[in-house]
Amino acid sequence: MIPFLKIDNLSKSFGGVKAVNDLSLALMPGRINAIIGPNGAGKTTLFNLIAGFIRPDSGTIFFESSEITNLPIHEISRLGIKRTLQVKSVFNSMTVFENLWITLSAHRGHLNPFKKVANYRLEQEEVESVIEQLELERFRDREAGTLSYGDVALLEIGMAIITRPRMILFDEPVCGMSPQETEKVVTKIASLAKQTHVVIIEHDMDVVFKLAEEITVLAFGAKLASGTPREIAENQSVKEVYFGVDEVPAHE
Amino acid sequence: MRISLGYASLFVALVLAPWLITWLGDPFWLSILTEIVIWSCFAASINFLFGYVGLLSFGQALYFGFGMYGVALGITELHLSFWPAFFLGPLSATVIAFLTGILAVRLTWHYFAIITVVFSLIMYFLALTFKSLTGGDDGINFVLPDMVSAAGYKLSLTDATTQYFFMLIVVVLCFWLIRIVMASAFGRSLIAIRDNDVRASLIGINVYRLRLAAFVIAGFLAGVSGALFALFGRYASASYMFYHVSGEGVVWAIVGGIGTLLGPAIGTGIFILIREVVSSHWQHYALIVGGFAICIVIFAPEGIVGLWKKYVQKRGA
Repeated sequence: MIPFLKIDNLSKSFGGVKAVNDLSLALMPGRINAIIGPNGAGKTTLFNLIAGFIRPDSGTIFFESSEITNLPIHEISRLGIKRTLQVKSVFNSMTVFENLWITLSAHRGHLNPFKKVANYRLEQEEVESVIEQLELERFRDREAGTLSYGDVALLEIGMAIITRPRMILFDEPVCGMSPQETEKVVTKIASLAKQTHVVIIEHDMDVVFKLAEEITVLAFGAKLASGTPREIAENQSVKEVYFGVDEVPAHE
Repeated sequence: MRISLGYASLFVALVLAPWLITWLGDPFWLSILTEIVIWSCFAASINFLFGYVGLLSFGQALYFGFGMYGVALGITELHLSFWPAFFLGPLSATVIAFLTGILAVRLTWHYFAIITVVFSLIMYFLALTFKSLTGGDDGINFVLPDMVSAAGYKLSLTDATTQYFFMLIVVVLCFWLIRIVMASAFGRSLIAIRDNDVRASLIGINVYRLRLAAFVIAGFLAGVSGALFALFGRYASASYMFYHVSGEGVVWAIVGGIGTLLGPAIGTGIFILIREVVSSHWQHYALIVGGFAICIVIFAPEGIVGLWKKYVQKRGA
């Protein structure tokens, strides 16, 4: 099998701290990949490097065998690599509809200054269908800034999926959510994984072990272990460094 | 419906204004109204950057100045006729906006505000240095060429009503252009950048390029108002490049309602009227202007248009 995401000898330092240290990864298609690790392990830095927020000091990143190292954020996005942010982030002054519309429009590079938004028929229909799919009809014309945290999270997922991305990077998707909201998002992510490559960073181990079929453990910017949830749960060095010996959740 | 009714009545009032003013007997007010129309376009330039893409410029006077000098030097040095001279103003402002924008829009917030001030100061002092060409603070005067002069038929801005309608048409066209552009994917992308620039780049918007485009459009709008003002005053002066002029425009736009189409025009109108009415009676009229601006910023941060919209919504509900 060919990995969809291949990272070789990636390094990034901030000041004297090696946030990502000579990291090599190959993520395989067809399963949800989770990246876990204690605080400061370099998970978010890794996402930032993949999405183009920051540039690596050295190393390469290949997505579906084309190199994306050092590309600007918007170009990486237009290749179909979408990421969500740890702190929910949408366009607050725009309605739910407008948020989804602009996401689709930006992905397709629409910039004609003389064509009215209302005249993009195809995009309008696609937005309506995503609104329906996420059951956000009630909020269609509400400004995103007035939505509850959970609904913003749903909107964010909508913005990630509306472009039919080739890979989604979820950065702590259930952070700060109620159990009901978490449940909803987990179901959504699981169903997404049937259509696209999904990589998640998550601190909530219940969520990780529920969703992930492949787990990579980072510590101090390097790979500590990788394997199926069962393998990771039983891995001695992971237990010692990351979980603390007794805290591995039961997983069947 | 109410808003389009507002547009319609404003439009009718503006078209009937010359006759109304003649009927009331003091033609002085027509020139004040013309001035309001011209400076509205300048406030719209500031609003385009601050209200639509989130960049607060304190240097728009620079492009206003280039609009003025484009017209003035076009007439005095290049001996152009009316229309080429008129187009040279906004054109030179647009080109300068592009060149300075390449550097300026790499920055945001206060850094952006500072660099726009720095650019306008540099150009201001350059204009003072080349006094033989620009006339410095004293400026240069020119004789107005006719707009149309063919087969015994003559149309010139020396007629106050013709002048008013010419400027009104140009400025209304600019506002109409802004309205069209803001209803497009391009305009919505600018709003997205204003709301959340990180997210905007995450969905695939080239934030730098769009900020530059907005900066160039704003430079064009300031250039148009500068060109009109040069024609209105028959002169150009470096003093209009000074950041004090930019600052005034910022206040007009904010008080009128940032991020709204007509807010800048309303703010401009109110402040110029205050200036004209109060300054002849009391030399410290700026105190009233300042106090008024502070009240609006504190109690109605969305400006007068924001207040109006809230009122309309309440009545509708």
